[in-house]
Amino acid sequence: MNKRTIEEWLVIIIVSVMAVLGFGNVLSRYIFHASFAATEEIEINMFVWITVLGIAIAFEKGSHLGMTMLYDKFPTWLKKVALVISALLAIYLFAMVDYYSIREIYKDMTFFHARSDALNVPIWIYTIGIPIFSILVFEKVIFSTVRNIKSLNRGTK
Amino acid sequence: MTAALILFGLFMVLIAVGAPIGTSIGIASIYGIMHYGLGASMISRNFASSIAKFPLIAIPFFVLEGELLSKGGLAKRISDFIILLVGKATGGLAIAAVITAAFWGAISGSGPATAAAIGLIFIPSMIKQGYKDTFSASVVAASSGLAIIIPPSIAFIVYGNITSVSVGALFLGGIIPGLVMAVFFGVITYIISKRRNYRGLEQRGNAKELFKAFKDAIWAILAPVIILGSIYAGIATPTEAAIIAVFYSLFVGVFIYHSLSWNDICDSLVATAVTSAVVMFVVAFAGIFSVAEAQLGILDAAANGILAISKSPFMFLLLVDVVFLIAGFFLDAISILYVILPIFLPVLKIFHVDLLFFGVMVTVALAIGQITPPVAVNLYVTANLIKKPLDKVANEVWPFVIFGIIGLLVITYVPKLSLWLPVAFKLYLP
Repeated sequence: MNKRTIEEWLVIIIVSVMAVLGFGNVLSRYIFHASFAATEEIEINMFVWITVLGIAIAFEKGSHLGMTMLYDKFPTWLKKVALVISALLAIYLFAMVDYYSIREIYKDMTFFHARSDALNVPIWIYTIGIPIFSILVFEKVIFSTVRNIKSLNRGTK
Repeated sequence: MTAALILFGLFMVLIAVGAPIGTSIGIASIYGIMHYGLGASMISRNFASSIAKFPLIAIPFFVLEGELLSKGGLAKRISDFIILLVGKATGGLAIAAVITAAFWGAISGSGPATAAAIGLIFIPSMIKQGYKDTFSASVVAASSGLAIIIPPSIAFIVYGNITSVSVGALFLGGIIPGLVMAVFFGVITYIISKRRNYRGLEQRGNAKELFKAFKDAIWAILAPVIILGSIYAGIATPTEAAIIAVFYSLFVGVFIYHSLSWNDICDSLVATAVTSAVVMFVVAFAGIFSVAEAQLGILDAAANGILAISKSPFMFLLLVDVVFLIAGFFLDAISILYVILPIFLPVLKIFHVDLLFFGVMVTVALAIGQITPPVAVNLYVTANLIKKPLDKVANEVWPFVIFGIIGLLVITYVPKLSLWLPVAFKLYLP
């Protein structure tokens, strides 16, 4: 059994919980004729979390959609420039998302005290997953960029 | 007009230098928002709200179901049965690959996932039988596009999310066009096999063997029945059907075939998060891109442009096909749905084009886009399987693209193919 990383364990647990909640909801609606739609709220917010985590893992594995036709024809130095620009933009993108998420969380905690529709829990509990899990996005973007640049260096020797 | 140029230009330049499409569309959207003062805080709110939608949760669940069934060995069982059935014909193994992919399309909603599941089984055995490796990769890649036409389909779930057309109705609409495309891919596979003298398998399945293989595959064959059956019996929404399918595949893999280990299940869960995140990365930011397009007046300008080109529905549909096919070379299906589709939606009424039919038609074009390089998600998977670069495989894929386009034109100009089933099942009123 290969060793699993923390983000892999996180998605294993969260996706399992989503599936079980979803199945419980289907069962209760059609067998017991009672719906606990509140679980939908948890599921959709967990979906946001596994998306952030999945984006991180996909950066590490290089599974994101993209085009390398032009990139492949670049000289090595230009490839490095492109890799760095691409990494910086990805970091900037999630930094923006985080910045505004944290501002919202702060406002929710101190002033609005907004609560969710179905479960009546503070909304920031859901929102806070985005900045927390996106730490892994930053880590994986940097990790994969360094790794790719290193392998370019090895290739030119 | 400059706004449009910058928005699209930034997006395309970033993709060209190799940035992920999700990053590119996100950065372009942020630029659009900030530069034109549309309210920067919408970035984070949109990120969460574009993802947190119950109908979209069908995406990870359908992916998980496909992963579990594939790791549980059900793809292998289906392929064994189909190979026994048609393997003896000229190009038998290749034709079996097309039929298996079409069948797997009724289990999986993702082209690349289907290409991986089917490719792992068929490509090595095709090469062993003397098929050219690049041809094998092309057959599997092309027919795996059927996965987004034949229900379930990630493309239909996203189209339904954008246009509010019922996903269940879209699923039904895709069945006949999916089979039509399967026939076209099967025909070109047969023609090439005949010309290159790719012979069929020696072994012939007798009735007893066939029955045994069918019995072995029965639980896999039941999977699409359960998915579609639960939707059309009115028991479940597509998302619920996906959840039911997940537990069905878990049950079959663990208790009936005893082929799913704990490790397989964990692998499937991780693969699910990654596959769905790759799609949702684009969805999360593409929503903002569409808003920026609308706000910047790009959509109005485009609508006027389209009306200036032609007033005939015939020409309009041809234009849509051409634009979607060209976009399919450079973008993935999901980005195209968010970036290109909104340009055409406002004028559909003027040309009396039905929204459901339109969804099926563009999805067929998107399926062809999955095999046209440089951005060809299915071909990318199968090229990796034979360890050859994309452009080497591309030489063999063009016949499939051409036959795909002929199929697309048939589906474009015979809307009944897409509309008959949803209307017959009273799920849709055109």
